[in-house]
Amino acid sequence: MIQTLEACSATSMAADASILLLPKGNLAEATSWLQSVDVLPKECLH
Amino acid sequence: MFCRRSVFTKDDPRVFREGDIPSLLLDPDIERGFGLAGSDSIAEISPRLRAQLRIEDLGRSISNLRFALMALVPNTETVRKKIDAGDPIIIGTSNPATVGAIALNTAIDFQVSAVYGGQIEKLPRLLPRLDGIIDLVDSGKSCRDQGLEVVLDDLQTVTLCGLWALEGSQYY
Repeated sequence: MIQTLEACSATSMAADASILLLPKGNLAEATSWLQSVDVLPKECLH
Repeated sequence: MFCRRSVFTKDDPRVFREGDIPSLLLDPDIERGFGLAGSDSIAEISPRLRAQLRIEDLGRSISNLRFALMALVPNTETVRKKIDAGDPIIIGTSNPATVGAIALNTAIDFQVSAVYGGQIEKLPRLLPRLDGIIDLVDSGKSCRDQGLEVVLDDLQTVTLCGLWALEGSQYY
């Protein structure tokens, strides 16, 4: 059973993450979600 | 400078098979990692891993992906009659946990008899004991190419999930 929490939980965890692990098979959907919640991977900050 | 439109390619070091993401999140070298995966992969995570992860369904359907029951074209009517009669339906799949959930939801007696990692659509020709397969379909082309027809569609949709390690959890 998948645990469903407040939507902000995943968003804040993704925003605070030191690394994002992305699914090869669903890369477009994963990228789209990250963009929709304005999450930027920290290793992308220059 | 922010790269807001970062584009990940499949060669990116952060891009993995979905089935490997849960254990990677628990690797001692990965601190504060966050992973994304489809609910179809999440459903197959072992209880041991699941107990150490927080998983959140993000409520976003993944394209047109859904689970369907498929059978070889000559057998579809027989399979429909077996379902109507409440007989067991012998299944091959890559997603045994999902099939278990579908059996509960539909009250159809799906019995998993063969579990393989991929190319499930080839199984019905190879293993005549199978009534059919339960697998993910999108356009359904690869199944049609193998002579299969959808008997029951939309058994379960696939959504995107976010996951991360609970504090103090470790796989190795």
